[in-house]
Amino acid sequence: MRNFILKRMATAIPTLLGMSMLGFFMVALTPGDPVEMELRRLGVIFTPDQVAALRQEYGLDQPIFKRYIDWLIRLFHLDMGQSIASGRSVLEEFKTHLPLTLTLASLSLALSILLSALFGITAALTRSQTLGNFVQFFSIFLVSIPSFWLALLLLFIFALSLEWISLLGSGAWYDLILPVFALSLGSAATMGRLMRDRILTVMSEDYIRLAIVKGLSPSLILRRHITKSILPPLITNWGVTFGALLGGSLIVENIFNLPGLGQMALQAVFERDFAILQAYLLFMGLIFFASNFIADLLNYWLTPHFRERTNSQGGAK
Amino acid sequence: MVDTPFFKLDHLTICHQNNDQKPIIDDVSFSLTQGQRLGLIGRSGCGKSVTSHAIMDILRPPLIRKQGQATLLGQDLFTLSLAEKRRVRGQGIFCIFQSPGSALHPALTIKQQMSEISTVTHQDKTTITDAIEYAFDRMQLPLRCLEQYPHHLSGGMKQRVLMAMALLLKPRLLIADEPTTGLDVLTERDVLSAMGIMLEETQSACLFISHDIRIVKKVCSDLLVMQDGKIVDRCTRDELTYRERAETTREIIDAMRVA
Repeated sequence: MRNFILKRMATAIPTLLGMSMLGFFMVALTPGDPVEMELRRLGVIFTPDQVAALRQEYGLDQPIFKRYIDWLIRLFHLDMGQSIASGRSVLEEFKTHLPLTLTLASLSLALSILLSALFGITAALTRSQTLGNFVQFFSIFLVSIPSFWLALLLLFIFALSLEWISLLGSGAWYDLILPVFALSLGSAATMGRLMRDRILTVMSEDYIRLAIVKGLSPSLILRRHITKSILPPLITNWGVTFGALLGGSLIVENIFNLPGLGQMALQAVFERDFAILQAYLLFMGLIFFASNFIADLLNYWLTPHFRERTNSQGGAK
Repeated sequence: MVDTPFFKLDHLTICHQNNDQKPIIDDVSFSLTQGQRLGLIGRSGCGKSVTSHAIMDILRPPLIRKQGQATLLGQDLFTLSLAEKRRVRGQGIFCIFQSPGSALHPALTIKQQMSEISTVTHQDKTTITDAIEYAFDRMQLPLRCLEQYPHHLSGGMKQRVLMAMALLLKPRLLIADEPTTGLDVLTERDVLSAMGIMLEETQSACLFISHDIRIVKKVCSDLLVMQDGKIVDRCTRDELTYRERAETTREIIDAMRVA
């Protein structure tokens, strides 16, 4: 177990380093000077000297590699710099915006799992051809819809036509209902199809037939035998999906006007707010890594085969 | 009383769902008396396993039962409700599949797979534990296997685990579908002797499916020979070498001699 975790941590280091580099340079090399942008936004008439002074204050006059190394070193002290636009520290900004996005993504993942289980199990277990086809069609339909379009559609129906909710949001918990649906329906459909295929494959396995032949109750077979077999690939998928949902929140948050990380990031793009963007990209990478890691850890517990293989490899080293 | 059949299969015909030109199983009938051991032999693909699946009512989808009746102790198996079918499975009829490698759940321990039988036999925890230990002892399986997963066990051991399950279930009819396929001769001998012990103990009747006449002669008192989904010959073990046997039977016997 410890070996497995250590090994995964070790492989994470080059990945994260690569991501940090990519994120940093991509942002730093985009055209547009953040200081000039900020000054222009404030409507200040500025002289080249003033710009130079400000650039020095933010360390933007340094060569780019030195800036990267400095940034990396400060990162280890959880100092990700300062937002040029708001003047607050990046950490502060994250603390303000992160909870909403995490809630949104977690709720969306939960809803996706719930809906996909409903889809998948019904589609797999039903003998009715019509119902099977309907579920199949519906899931292809949902998979094909981009989340921003679904978000606009939901807003159009519930805010403009039915007027059940306010277009601007009211800051209450139910503001999250539509965004959660907009985010999760697509992934629920993908996951539902995966679940259906897995269940059908597993049901034709000999060990499920043995369970049937033993005379076990269908509910026990479903709860114990089928679930244990379909869970590992699904968990891996959930890990990836969670990362994707966090990323997808960028669009949905902006459409629904939710002050989360996505909105923060998009604003930072418009303002060339380097510090925020660089931290956001690294954070997204980290979340992707972490959710995959947690998924692998769960699978490690669930599959004896996997557990022993990784252990024996770890022991050989 | 002993000789009246307690299991009967009548006119079983199985077809491919979309193509009813040529049945895969064509009008197969046979019966078993209490404790009888009946061998079903034939070359691979002649429909032996499909017959056993049909009896258990677990045919794989493109195959459908076109006609036929199976009766166990006067109960018509194919007309039962799902819940009633479930009651017949396990303690009524149990089936040991041909590939023990895939017959056990890879992510459940042997103990978990053994003790869940208590939900079928309605035994409490201590009774089932005792029964498992007894069964393992009879099947000469070490108790440490209980905590292990199927991939730790050899093919012969897995097959004996399945036999131990049969010992717990005590089915009226056991269908053994090529239980020794893929095992070496020594392991085969161990598995067959374990099966002998198990059948003696459970007093089950046994439908023994195999392509290997050598083994069938060891295990069974009576034989059915199958060819292209039809029963082409029936005889007792002693009548096997008679001249007037069907062509398929002679072919199988000759092929065995050459080997």
